[in-house]
Amino acid sequence: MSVHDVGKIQINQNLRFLAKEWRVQRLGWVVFALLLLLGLAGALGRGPLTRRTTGDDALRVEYESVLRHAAISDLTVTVGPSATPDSTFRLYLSADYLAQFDVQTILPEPQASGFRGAYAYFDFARVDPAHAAQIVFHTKPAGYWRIDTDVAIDGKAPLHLEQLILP
Amino acid sequence: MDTVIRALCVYVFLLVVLRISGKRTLSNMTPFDFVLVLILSETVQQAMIDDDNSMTNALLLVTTLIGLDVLLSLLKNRFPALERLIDSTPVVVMQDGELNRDRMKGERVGEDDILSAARQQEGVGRLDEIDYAVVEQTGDITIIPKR
Repeated sequence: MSVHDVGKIQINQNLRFLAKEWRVQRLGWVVFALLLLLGLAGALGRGPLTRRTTGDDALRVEYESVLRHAAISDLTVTVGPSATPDSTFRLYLSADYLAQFDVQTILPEPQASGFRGAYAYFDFARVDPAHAAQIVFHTKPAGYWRIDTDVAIDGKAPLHLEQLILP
Repeated sequence: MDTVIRALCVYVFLLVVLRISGKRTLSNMTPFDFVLVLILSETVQQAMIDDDNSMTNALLLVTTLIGLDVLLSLLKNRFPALERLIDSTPVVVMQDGELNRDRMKGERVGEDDILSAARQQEGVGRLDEIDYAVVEQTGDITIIPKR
């Protein structure tokens, strides 16, 4: 609707459009509130709703199912004493994982690392063979959207992780 | 490529969010609105530059943002419906000295806002001295006093 008379003035007021606009605005405010609630609950990453644990006493992985691009996050792998009797063990991660994440630090540091097939491997020494060993990968997501990762040790079926990296 | 996409996403997102928040959100800035603008710019800056502080990135960002703005202004000129969608339309909230409460509610405008605009623009201090009040596309209120 172009310029027309409203009383004594000329104006391009469009009341039908404005009525729709106000309705959409109110709806938008509800969407804002829902987004805020999701954020507060941690559904958009960095919260209890997205913290996941998978595996058993032999091999357990704690990770976040929803991550944010370039925001540092942890992947914690626990290898129980029942998993391997040796004083060292080899941990495998999908090689794709390293393409999608910048690994900032690994605690403790691996004795050796390399690639084998579709996996990257890291060799760790077990400080106390009677207790579980914990390895923490501090990573920075470099990719976007869905990332599938397998985590494995020798003699155990790999654990499959699905993560979503938000932009 | 990443930079251009980031800038495009931020531009569109800000456009949608500010449009949904309403005309009055950033018009006639109070000191707090000013702080809000500073916080907004600081927040989106991180999302746009990521960890690339190079001059190339900055030039690419500026070119993208200004380019988008020029493109949008061209499109708005060509398609009036798009202009209405992006900039809204003005709305008369007071006609022939009568307040229209529904429209005032729609635009989140109170009598005090109209009186404030009347004092600043026309040196008029009473509602019964105002003939027309219009909330413009920018969110500012224009006052036409009774003659």
